[in-house]
Amino acid sequence: MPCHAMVMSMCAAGLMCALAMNCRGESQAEDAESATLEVRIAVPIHQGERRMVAGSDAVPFQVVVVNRSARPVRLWTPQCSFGYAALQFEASDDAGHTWMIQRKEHGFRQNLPDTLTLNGGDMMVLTVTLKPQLWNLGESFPPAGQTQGLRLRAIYQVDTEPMAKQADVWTGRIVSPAERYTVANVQGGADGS
Amino acid sequence: MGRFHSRRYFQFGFVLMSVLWVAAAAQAIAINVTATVNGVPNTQLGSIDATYAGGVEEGSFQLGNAQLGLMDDPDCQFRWFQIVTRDTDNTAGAPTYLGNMMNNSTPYVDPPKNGWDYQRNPAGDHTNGTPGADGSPFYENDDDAGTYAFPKYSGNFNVFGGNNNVPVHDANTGVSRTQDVPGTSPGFGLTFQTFLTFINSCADHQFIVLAGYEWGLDRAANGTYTYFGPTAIDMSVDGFSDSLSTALTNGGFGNDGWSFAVNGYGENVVCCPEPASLALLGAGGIVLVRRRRAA
Repeated sequence: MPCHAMVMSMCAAGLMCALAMNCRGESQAEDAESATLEVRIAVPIHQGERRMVAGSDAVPFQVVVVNRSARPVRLWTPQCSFGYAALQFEASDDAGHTWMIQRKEHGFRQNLPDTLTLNGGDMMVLTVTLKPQLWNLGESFPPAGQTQGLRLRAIYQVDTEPMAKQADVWTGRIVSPAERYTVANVQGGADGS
Repeated sequence: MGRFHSRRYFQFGFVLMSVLWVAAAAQAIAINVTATVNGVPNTQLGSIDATYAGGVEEGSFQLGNAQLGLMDDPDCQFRWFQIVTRDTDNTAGAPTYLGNMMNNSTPYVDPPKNGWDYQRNPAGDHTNGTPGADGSPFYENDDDAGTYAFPKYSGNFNVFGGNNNVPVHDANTGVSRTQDVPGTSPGFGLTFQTFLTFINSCADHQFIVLAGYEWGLDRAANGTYTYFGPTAIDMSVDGFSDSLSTALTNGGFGNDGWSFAVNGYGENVVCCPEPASLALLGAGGIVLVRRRRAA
């Protein structure tokens, strides 16, 4: 992007921000909050690639949320509705398609606003099985039986809403570095769940 | 224990309403709980305050001062027991239990045995995930290892959406709490019945249903929720015990030998050792196996 165009864009963004009440203050606060947490997909390079197995025979992998600050951070647990969909993934393929991989929504019966606390340096490990019964994998996801290279990044996001405020739960959005993964969509099993 | 209802055996006596009065207000009720306590009929046991507002259901049982010993005693427990009597959600948005929707299985215990699939770790994975709840029909988990979702019997939680971290059961103040924030797919509704129960170590897998209230929600096609209740439950109506028995079966507890008695039929709220049991032990040489708390 040419320099002047970039400046114009920044001015426009600044104007939009100024028009939105408290934008500057809120974004600073969010940045400060977000800086305390870090999210990473724990799939290291093995034999030259980061490999994931998705589909009905998906192999679990882990996503780690780490508190990089010195002060405690409170998070929703993934087993309650408030934290169930906090983790999502942004995927992009070689054709230039970018889409979100998100938890499938469902109703809850027993459901409490359940929280956990990460002290400084603590981490929350989220186990993920990318099964189509549990996740909306997206139309551009490799079809069943195929393996494809995708760039993925994990997004951990909790929106500001009354329950989060009352429970003093961390809100914000953190994103892992985008990395290239070899993703196999393996179809098997009877019920596949 | 002939007055306890198993799945196969029911015995009803005359009905004495355990819910003597109900003070109703918008989205909040108070239920006075009386029972036969330590052999004394019609004893004031305590009261339940129940609310359902903004999608948050909360129940709080306050044990009367005169009965605080019941909660102090490690052999006695007040537990919550919840069933779903209406659940018609048959969409992909319905929660599953062991991979199955429960819309054709009402009434059922909430949570069912070992919890909903979404309570597992990883969430939703009923084949590889570890259970999200214990194997008892009670709402709280016996969870010293900290492996289950929530709530923990000996743990804390936040009430009224706040950050107040109060005990689920507080023997010092005689308070026992429950909470739920359920939801369903657009176009469907849910009805819950939440009961306060009492168990002791006299007998295995048996509990007394002391009192309860009904509440629920309906969700319009546009996603808007409307809430109703709580209202006190008349436990003397025909079919009440059948409903609870069916709920146990549908919740996966059918082969576990659970039985219950309904308050108002003379069941005795007493901590172990129960004098009658000791007498039997001495006379007949009956071997009592100390029950494991809520297996």
